[in-house]
Amino acid sequence: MTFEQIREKAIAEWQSLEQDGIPVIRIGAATSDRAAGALEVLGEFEKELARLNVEAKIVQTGSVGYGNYEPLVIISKPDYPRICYNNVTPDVVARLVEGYLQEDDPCMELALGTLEGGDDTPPHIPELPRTEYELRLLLRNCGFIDPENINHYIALGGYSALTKALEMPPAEIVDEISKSGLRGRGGAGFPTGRKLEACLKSANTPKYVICNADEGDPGAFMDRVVLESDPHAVLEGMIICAYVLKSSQGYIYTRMEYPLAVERLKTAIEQAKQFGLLGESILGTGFNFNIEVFQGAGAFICGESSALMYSIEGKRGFPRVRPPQSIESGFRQKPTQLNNVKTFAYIPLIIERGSEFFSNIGTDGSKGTAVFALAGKVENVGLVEVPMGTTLRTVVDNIGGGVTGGKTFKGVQTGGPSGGCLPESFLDTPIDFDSLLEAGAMMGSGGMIIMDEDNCMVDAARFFLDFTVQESCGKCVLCRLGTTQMLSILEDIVSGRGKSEDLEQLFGLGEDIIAGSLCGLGKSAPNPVLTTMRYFKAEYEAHIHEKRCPALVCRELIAYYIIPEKCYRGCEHCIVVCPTEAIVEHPKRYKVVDQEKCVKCGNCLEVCPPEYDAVVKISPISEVPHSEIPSGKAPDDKDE
Amino acid sequence: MQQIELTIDDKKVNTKAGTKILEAALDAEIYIPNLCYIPEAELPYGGCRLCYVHVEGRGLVTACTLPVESGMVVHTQTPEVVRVRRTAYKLLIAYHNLDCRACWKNKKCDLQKLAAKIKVKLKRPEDFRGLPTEFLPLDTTNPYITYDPIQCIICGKCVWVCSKICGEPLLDFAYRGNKTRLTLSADAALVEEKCPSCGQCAAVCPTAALRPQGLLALDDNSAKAG
Repeated sequence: MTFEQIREKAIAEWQSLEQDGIPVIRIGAATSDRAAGALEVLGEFEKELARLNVEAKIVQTGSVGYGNYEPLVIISKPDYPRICYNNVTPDVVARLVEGYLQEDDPCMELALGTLEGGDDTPPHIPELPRTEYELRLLLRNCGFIDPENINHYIALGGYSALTKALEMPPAEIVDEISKSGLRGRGGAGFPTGRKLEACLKSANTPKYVICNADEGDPGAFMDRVVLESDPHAVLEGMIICAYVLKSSQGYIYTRMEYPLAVERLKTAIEQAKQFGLLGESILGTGFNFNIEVFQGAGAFICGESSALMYSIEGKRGFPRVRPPQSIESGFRQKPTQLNNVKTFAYIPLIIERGSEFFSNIGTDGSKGTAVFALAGKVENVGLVEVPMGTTLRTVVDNIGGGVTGGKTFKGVQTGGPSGGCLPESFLDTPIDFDSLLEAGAMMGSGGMIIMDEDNCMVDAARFFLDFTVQESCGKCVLCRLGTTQMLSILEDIVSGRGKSEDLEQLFGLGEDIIAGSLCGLGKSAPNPVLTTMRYFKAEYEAHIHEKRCPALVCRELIAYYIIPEKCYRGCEHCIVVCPTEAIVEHPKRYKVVDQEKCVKCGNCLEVCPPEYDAVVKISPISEVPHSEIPSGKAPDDKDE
Repeated sequence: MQQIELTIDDKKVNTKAGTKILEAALDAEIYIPNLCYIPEAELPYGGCRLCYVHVEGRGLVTACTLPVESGMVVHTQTPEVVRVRRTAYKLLIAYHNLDCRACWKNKKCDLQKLAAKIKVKLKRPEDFRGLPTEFLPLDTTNPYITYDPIQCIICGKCVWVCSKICGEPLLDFAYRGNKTRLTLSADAALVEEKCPSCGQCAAVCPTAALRPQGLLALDDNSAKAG
């Protein structure tokens, strides 16, 4: 079968999906949707359709990336626009089936909005203000197509970039990618075209193509969503690179923790092979290329390119010294083209629509779009794709919908544990590789964590550093022991044992670790500490000099106190939940926290009814008003 | 082989192309501190972070990894080089058992000898926090070699020499981060079958981490009887 025939068949299948008069129910079923209960919703739909004898097709898609709206269901019914329902629970399924599918009431009160575009333009929901600011290139198919059906991908233009590439000389493909200005999306932002060119020029053979899908940053899930929602885009990008390099073997290094991504990738690889798009003599050209999915055991360091390659070879995941670079001597000492999931997924788009299409988007130094996993204290968590150069403020306020609960924004951590933390004054920084680096943060692979007034920046820095200490590979002294040393200092500071010389010591160690570590992960490990020290120095000083945690987070520096005037004396919620019997009743019946016994679990604060709001956190501990502790008698129940 | 001339600390040095800076310097009798460097290894290990030098136009680089280039100007004692090197060294000794006089490797220990060369006092650095965990127990699973994790600086020399002799490393690193340590019996059956008990791992160990026992200890009388 020629590709033209394949495509015609795929388009016919795709069109019949929505045009044969039977409603289509698309249920987002990526990992995040499943966690929100998508599979239960799916089961309920099947049950209800059978019960009411309604005919409809159910399609399991990937994720649109709107984390806070999951499970997300899109229903297309003839003569109606596609309607998108958010936070669907099994309880409302009956209403949707009965009300909408049977009786033509679209139940708009349950809907997020109507879904426009889709077949040739990226789908968007006009009712959602955030869609105005987004530009979905990489995520265009996510949540819309069935990732386990290659025909859906082909019908929407998939693999036509490959057919185009197979008729181009390799040098021309490299040129096209170079002209597009695409930079690696794994974090460092190295120009992809230049990397490909260097690998192409190497005389050594065979060459390998490896996709780095070892996404390990806390709070980052962009690669997982792409793999689970549009795996063929990644495969197509890899096949094009392999064609350029005449490589016959590729690997996708992903994580054991991503079982669904692995499953969907394997399905995608099988289907691509059946269609002659992968394997022996791709599309009859005589070019052979195979892709194997390799599951790592979850070590963060295996996201570092040389450690990743050692890991596939069966060795311990230790980064290797440079030179030589991987493009000359990488996997099995052969030239290796290693890119991030998103980098590969952009390549078909660039080949198909031309480099100018891509280079017209973004800033001078950073082209195309940026994909972020927005997490933390914002209303709309999930995936965000915006043109490079969009400001952080747009992402936080317009797309993220502002800080949760109307609290005050404090900082944004970009780039995960390797990145930096930027304060409010940097919100107008455009998101691109160079501006973020200049501000002291970095693009990273795309995690973005929003912190508000309730986050202690010293504790946040400690959290990220703790992650790096746990995940350091242990090879080089500065990262293995230097980060341990920094963590010991931070632990002292958050528990009130900080000394005034600690800040200088932290700074010095941080600088030396950055200057002297072996690999990129070590060189960036101190960033969260150094940036928070630069932008939130007052918080560090409060911890050290006043033993005070301004955000009331650090356990050893706060105390729980019940304001006697506010305490509703008849209520005993706090007494009941206190695990250590630290709350006792005063003869005047208000409750008192015995600081000696209190373990600061915060249960009392949580259960104190909001109308009383009597429990407060106080820092430093020395400012807790003295309260007489009654002799510890349990409150007697004579009044009941 | 093409000859290359470079300058190290104002001294003209001639060496073969492809030589690493560290090797060129040591050959020219210019000392650069190092602990994990193995001249015969195909690929430098690069773990000890002590051999830092400043190369004009490139900045701070490890001398064991960068091949010499014609006209290269190398400084081994700039303030930055000295600072990073000392930090790395101080980190090593901050987590080391520094009771040197009671140590069987006293005066034969490379880590100990380096203190004078780097001009750092061989005692726990005052500005550093001490050990994060308790002293780890000795590994005595191998009858000929014992392993003391606290003395180990993770230099990888033993792993390298073991894989050279046996074709594959019978001992290798286990765990991650500051818990990284050598494992002598990751695969006990394999070790039993293949380990020739040659003792080379202990012979290349720069510190007191690997200690010969039993018959292996006879000719260097390092192990105490009983």
